[in-house]
Amino acid sequence: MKIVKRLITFLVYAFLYAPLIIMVLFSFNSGRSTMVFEGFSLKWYETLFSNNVLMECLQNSLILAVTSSVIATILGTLAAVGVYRLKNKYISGTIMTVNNIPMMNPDIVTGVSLMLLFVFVGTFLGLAEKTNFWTLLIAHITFNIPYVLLNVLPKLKQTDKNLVEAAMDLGCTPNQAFFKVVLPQINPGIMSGLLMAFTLSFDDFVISYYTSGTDFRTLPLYVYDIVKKPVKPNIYALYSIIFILILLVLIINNFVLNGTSKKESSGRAKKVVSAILAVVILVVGVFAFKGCETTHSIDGLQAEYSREFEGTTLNVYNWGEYISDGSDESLDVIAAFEQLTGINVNYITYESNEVMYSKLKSNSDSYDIIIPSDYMIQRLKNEGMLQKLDFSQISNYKNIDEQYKNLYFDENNEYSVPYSVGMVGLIYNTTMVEEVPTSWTALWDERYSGDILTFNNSRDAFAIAQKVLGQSFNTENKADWDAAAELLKKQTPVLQGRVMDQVFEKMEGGNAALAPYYVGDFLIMQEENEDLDFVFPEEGVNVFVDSICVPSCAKNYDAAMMFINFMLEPEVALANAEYIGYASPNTEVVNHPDYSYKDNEYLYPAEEDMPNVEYFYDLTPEIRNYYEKLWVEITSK
Amino acid sequence: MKNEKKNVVELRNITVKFDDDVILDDMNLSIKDGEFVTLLGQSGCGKTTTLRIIAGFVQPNSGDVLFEGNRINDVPAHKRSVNTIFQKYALFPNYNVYDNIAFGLRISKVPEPVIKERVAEMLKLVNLEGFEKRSVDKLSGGQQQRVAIARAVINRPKVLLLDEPLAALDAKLRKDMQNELKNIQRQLGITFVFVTHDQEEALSMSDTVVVMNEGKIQQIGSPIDIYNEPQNAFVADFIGESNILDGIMKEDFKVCLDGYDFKCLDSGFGKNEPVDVVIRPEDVDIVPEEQGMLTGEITSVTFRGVHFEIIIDVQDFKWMIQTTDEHKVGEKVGLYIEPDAIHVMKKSKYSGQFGDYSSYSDELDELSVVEESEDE
Ligand SMILES: Nc1ncnc2c1ncn2[C@@H]1O[C@H](COP(=O)(O)OP(=O)(O)OP(=O)(O)O)[C@@H](O)[C@H]1O
Ligand SMILES: [Mg+2]
Repeated sequence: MKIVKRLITFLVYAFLYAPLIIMVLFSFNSGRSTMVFEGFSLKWYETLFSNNVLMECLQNSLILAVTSSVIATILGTLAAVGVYRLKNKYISGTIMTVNNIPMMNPDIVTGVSLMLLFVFVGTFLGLAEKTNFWTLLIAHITFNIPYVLLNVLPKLKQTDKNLVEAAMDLGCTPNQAFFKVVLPQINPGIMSGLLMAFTLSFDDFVISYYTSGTDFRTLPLYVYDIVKKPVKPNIYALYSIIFILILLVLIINNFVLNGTSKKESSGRAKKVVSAILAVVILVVGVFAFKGCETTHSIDGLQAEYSREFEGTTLNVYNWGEYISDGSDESLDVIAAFEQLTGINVNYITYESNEVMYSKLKSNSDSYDIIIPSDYMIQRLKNEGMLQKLDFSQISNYKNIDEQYKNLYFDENNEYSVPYSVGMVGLIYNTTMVEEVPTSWTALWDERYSGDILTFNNSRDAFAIAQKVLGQSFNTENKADWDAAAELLKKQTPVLQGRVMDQVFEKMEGGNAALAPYYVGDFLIMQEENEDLDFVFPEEGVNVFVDSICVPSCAKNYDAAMMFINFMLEPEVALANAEYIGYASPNTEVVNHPDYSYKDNEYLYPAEEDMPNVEYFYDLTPEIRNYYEKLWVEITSK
Repeated sequence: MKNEKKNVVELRNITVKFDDDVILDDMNLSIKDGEFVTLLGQSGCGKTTTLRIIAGFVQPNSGDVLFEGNRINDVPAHKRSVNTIFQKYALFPNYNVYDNIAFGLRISKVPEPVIKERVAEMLKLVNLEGFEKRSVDKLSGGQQQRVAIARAVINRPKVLLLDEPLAALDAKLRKDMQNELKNIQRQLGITFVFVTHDQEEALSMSDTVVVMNEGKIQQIGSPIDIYNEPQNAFVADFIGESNILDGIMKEDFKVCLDGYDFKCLDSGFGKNEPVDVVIRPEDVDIVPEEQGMLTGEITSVTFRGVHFEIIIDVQDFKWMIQTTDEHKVGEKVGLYIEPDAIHVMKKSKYSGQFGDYSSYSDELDELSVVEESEDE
């Protein structure tokens, strides 16, 4: 019996901690695979620390967590004392219920309602930036206070009431009695409240998402946005550090809590706490210092950059991991621009066009630069949410390849400057297929049943069926969509799964034979697994262009023009193209002797290999709703 | 007996209510300088509340609290020169013995060297030399008790309030501490207001005993007065053992019990006034049946060490008698009572509630149950 009990305990803990241990282990992997451990290396930690954007977010998170938890602890403790002293049981009962509701409340409700409040008040006061660092701080303090209260109140209730009276009896004023007698008693509660508030604040995503502004991004917000690319082990390194940090916090917490029973150790615990705090401050200091030590120089600038906008802040809103950021000895584009022009770039990220769209619609912040995809540009333009660009200030526009001008969403080249180009195709594992596939119908081939993957994203998945049926992606005929849905339902039996990011592991590990995906990502997979190859199926494929635009809410129009011009500089565009791995619309990049994807047959197919391509258009809301409904039917089978 | 000494503390017409429950009902009490006053009463009768009024932790709903003749109702607790020893000691767990004792002096900013001297003095007084650095929760109950005393006494208060300070101690330690407290009081000449629900403790230690019940003072007097001349059936029953009978005061110095006219020393009642009569068990002599003023049959005999406790049924009223002579159950005997053993009291609302030993053994059981649960 005893053995069984121990075994169960062991299994439970193994189950809880195995994932963490594996993550820490793979953060030291010298390769980027998550399957095989190729050797010990610290390189992911180096990449991590050389990623300035990420480091700044980490620093922000620490600053926010420390300030909000300290303030929440002070307020929460005062509140606990107030509730404790209330004579009326009904009032204190009501206050505690009111206190508990925010904790039960889903974060999303708290987040959205706080955002509405901030926007309302901000509008009322006529503020330009309705959400900013201060609203974020207020939000974090708000959601932390109940936890502090809940930690402190029981400790207060446990303290002997006579102690306070004894102190007053011996001559203490009520305040002196509180500090000399009550505070030491409830200190463990305050400390655990503080640490809990710190961890909650440090890893909060949902509430921060709604209440933060453009000026202050935290780590969870940053991490959540990195989905354009597969997760790299530097993120494991980051999480390992955070895990260790939280572990330390918990150990200290236990120290302090045990400290109440053993008086002698509480002094030691205090020392440990101050030591940890010192370390945290030191680390933050190092990050801050690191930020300003390197110089970023760029050769061969084609345009002149004045410093007339020195000191202004430019809000750039881009996809996660969609700009060269200084990791792996790449160029830190943002830092270089800041150094050159003296403009402060406030770089914020999103994870989908739709998120960016709703953020713009909510009107809570102003952005100067956005980089949406084609169909979204069409929508934004139609809704009057974009400003025309002043091409007289964008001399480097000449570098854009003619084939990327006059595109359907911006026929007269007024609103957008192409940034990055991608195409969808079919990835296959040469050792697992009997002949080279040439058609999308391979994804329905029963011979490969169980080895086929497809998109877990409605529009991309429909697109494949639509090409098989010879339709346009942008048909507004419901019968066409019905037919495509029928075809997709027929595919379900042969599918191994519908995936997005997991496609990397599946294909790299040889666990699936066929998968449609973006060509840039295929190149990354191929580096890991040489058996992989890629075709553009004969029926035609989707092509997309992400372009730089200026939304109508922009406040720094001229600085934005300068930024766009800078992004088109050959060295800058080259660094970005290398970093992103998608095709570049910039002729200076395509012809650059150092470009590692130069003449790459997949990114830049020769004229005769060029597939039939079609863009996604912005569909009417009616059609969008229609196919989303069909999609639910397909995936729920 | 005259007013040689001044009143330190006076409570005048004090009434305290908690949520409409009357806890103290129009209470009047004067405490003289240097006096050892004990508040005695059952659990919940308002003893602690009385102390808290004096200490300043409870505001009376009406009435005045006077300290050395000045009204102090509005003086907050920390400004009153009164110190308290709490029912559960209330030592500060985050300080060691030395710091606990030094607490009051530190608050009043006495220089450290002086504090050191006086703490050493106190530790000597309570016999705890060498315990300075001990953490208070590692002390035994008696030691904690003494730290609590030292912590209060070091401030040289005019009045020391002690709330059942010995309740948690075992019988032996309790005796020792009773002596120690008494010594401290004599040495320092501090006025003690002592709370207990143990009548023996009250009688043996105090100058004055205040018997309380249900928020009202039943009697104030010296221990001997309280014992020998209880003012009503409640006091008579609560202090020691007593046989309380219904009687009729025929005339001065003559009271009729169970049809027999007894001589007594009491006077001043109306003619044929119904009264309560108290006769202490040790004041009744057992004599042969024919010589007795009253006769009855022995129904139980219990050996108590020094004496026997004998229950005698006299016309359905069960008497308790304490005697050193041995008797047998079933024996028919006579009772003989001297006039000075009879104490006559006016009827009160407690009349008839106490004083019959017919349910004697049950009553004892109940008492022991109550006592056990109180100790916890
Ligand atoms: N803060 C309070 N709120 C409500 N009722 C109270 C409060 N303090 C005391 N009481 C009530 O007042 C009555 C007297 O309480 P008190 O503590 O004075 O009794 P006590 O004589 O000291 O009893 P014990 O011997 O058990 O200590 C009790 O019925 C108690 O329930
Ligand atoms: Mg009490």
